[in-house]
Formats: sequence, C-alpha cells, structure tokens
Amino acid sequence: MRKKTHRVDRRKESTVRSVAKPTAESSTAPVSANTVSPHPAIELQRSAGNHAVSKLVSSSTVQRQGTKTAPPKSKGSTFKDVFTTALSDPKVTLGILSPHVEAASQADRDSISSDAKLLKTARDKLGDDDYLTLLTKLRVFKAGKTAEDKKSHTKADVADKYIRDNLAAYVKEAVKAGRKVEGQVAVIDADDWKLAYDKEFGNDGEEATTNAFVDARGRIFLHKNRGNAGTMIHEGIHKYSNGVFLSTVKFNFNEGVTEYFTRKITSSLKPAIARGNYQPNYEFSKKFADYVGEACLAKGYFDGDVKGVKDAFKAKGKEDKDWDALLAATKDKKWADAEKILTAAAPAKPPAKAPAEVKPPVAPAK
Amino acid sequence: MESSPAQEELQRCRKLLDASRTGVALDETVPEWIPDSLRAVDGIGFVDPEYAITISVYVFEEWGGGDEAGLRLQEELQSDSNVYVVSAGNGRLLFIGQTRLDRDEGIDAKYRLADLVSAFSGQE
Repeated sequence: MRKKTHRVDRRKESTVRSVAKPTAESSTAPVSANTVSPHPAIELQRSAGNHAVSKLVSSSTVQRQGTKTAPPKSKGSTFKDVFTTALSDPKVTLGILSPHVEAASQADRDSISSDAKLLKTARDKLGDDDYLTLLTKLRVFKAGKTAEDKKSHTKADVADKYIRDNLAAYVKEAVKAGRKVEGQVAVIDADDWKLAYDKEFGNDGEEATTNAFVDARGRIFLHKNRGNAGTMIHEGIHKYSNGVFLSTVKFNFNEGVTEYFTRKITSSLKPAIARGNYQPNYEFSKKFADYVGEACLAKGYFDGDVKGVKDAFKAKGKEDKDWDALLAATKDKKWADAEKILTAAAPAKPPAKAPAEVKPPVAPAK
Repeated sequence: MESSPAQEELQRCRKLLDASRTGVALDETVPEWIPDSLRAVDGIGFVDPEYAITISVYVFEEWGGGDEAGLRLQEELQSDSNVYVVSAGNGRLLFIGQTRLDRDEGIDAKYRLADLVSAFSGQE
C-alpha cells in the first residue's frame, strides 16, 4: 500500500469522533466504532428549531448496525431528503451524520453519493477532511471511465467476501477481531482523488503513477480509472493483516507477502486477474512461502506469529544471522540476494564422534 | 492539437515507465502484436537492450479491457519454460513483457523485468 509515515492530528481525530448521543426518539441508534463521549450534538438535537437533525435521527435510528431492516421514513421524506435538510443546519458535523450513514442501506447511501451537487454542499459544510471521511462512510464507488464500461474495481464488500472465502483458514482471528475493508475505502473520480492525494502527499510528483493509497488515518482511496480489479483485494488484505508482521519485516517484504495472498485470490477468479504490482517482492515471497510453508507464513502475517515464521526458517538449518541478513536484503529490495539466502545449503554438521573403544581387562599373568 | 484519450493513456504509460522511476532507459518501438489483433485501440513497444527485454503496452476502449488478451498471450508465451513472461493491467492499459532465462544474465533480466512491470502497475 502506498502510505506515508503517520502524522497524527489529534484535533482532527477528536472532530471525527464526536457523535450524537441517541435521543428518546432514537433509542436504538447505532454508534460508530469511533464513538467517544456525548458532546454538543446532544444539545443540538434537543434545541428548538433543529428539526433537520432530529428528523435525520428519527428516520434512520431504528435500524441497528448489521440488520437489514430498512429505516422508517418520515411521510414523504427519503433518506436523501432528510440528509439534505440536515446539511442545511449550520451546526451539522460528520459526527452527527456518521452513525446514520452507517445505518442506511447502500441504496440510500448511493442516493447521496450520486448527487454531485449534494456532495459539494457536504464538502462546503463539513470541510475537506471530514468530507473525505464521509466518502468512505458512503462507500463511494465511481465505476469506470464511462457508464458503458463493463468492468470496474472490485467492490469492497466483494473483496471482503473473496478474502474470507479464499483465505478462510488463515483469517479466522482477523475476522473475529472485526477486520474488514468495507466502510474504510472509496473509489473516487479525478476531482476527489486530487483533493485526497494533495492533502496526504502534497505535490510530490508521484500522483500520476499512484493507483491507490492508505492515508495517515487509515482511509483508503482508489482512483477509478487506474489499477485493476485486484487493487481493492490487495488493499483489503492489508486490512486483515497483523501489524507485528509489518513492523518486523518492514515495508518491501510486507508488500510482497500482501501481494502473494492477493494473487492467491486473483488467480483463482474466473476470469483471473493479471497483476504485476510489487512483482519482484511477490516473486521472492512466493519462494519464501514455499520455504517456510504457506500456513506458517499466513499465521505470521495475519495473526502476528512472526516467531513461528522465524522458527520454520531456522528449522532447515539456518541461523539467526541468516534471518537478519534476509530481513536486511528484503528491506533494501535486494531480492536476488534474499533468494540466495533461502537456497544456500545448510552448513555441514561435523560427523558424530565414534564411541571410545572399550578394551577388555588384561588377565593377570599366572 | 488535443491528444486523443488513447494518446493520453500512452503518455501515462510513458510516465509509469520513465527512467527516473525505474532506473532503466527503454527504447521506444512498435508493439509486438498489431493492436487490432488484440482488439486494442493503440499500442507501443519498449526494448531494454542491456538485458534483451521486450515490452508491449496496449490501450483498450474500456477499463480492464485487456484482461483476456493479456492472459491469452501469457499462456501462449509461457509454453516455453525458458522465457519469463509477465502481463499486467492498469486501467485501460495492458503490459506484456518477456525475457529469456537461459543465459548468464537470465536471473538479473528476470528481476529487471519484474521491476518494470511493477513500475507500470503503479503504486498501491
């Protein structure tokens, strides 16, 4: 994944986390994973005249997260109508909108994201950073170059299904921990891409050659016209991984293993998806997976059992210094050198000493 | 004069494979297969003379339009086990590259081609 070193902006994080506390009308409002504590939003909902936000709360709150029940609507009002009206409130924040967007059906979310004028209003009201988060919450998915394109990026929920089906034996713990890519990614057009990219990387000269990136807040953005149908799957695999593996093996090897598991999926699809991303990283990781065993590598990558990977590596006659040399070579993208460490013969063991000959006692002379 | 969408895509391809990114100065040439024969709208070829790597990049009408052609060509070329072949899609572009392994610099050529297809595929 294209990623920069995290820079944590606590001010921005606290804005995202502000969430409306459910009111009496909205006793079953779902709460987003980022909920912290109640907040001016409560007063916002109760104050007279703030009908727009109250209506948003009442129209969508009965639906708990994970249920498929459509939220009840006020007579004649669609979710889009209520959302639009909520945006007209000068005190509206992402924190207020978020749980209701999360609880909405995808069709309702799409009704928002397919309205360019409404999105512009949202951006003007929320500011750029919260607007970008809204795009991921809406699961924005801009498909292809024209409406006639038959192919597009893989959808996030489909990527989650592919990962959970094809790598079921490996991602049990990750799934239990709630890891997924849906709700954290948006496939966006050139304008939103420029906004997201410039915010994260500025004018670094690499925009035109980037298909997708994970920003410092963990939001994933894919350019709708670039990459291939495996891009979403690759980013999704990252979301299921355990951070201990990355912090041990570092970026280049981690990308190789991510791509290894990505291609396990993309090569099995009908038709298969041809990928060339991180090719040398992948070529080495394939050999490494053969060397330590795929299941062992998976346990390291998805569950953080890096010790198990190292033990499997050493079990074939390698030593700690070989492990260190391998990590150093992969860190510097010296793939041929890393491969040679795998294929180098184990040092010959000295032959076992023969047991000392036991001579029979000499009989005393008569 | 405004460039066509296909020309814009080929320009994107040139940026992806630019020597400043890859460290490899490629010579431009014609693609190995006629674009029409793959149902592509345009194409371009590249050669790395140092390692005898040949690359063809095609532009298709649609996003992902080269997927089937890429898989077909890869299957065809990989029938020779002494040839390292890679194909990859990036939007409307398809990359197909090959180099021979049965020579002293075969492994180095393989990793160089791997670097090139990786650069073409874009950062993710």
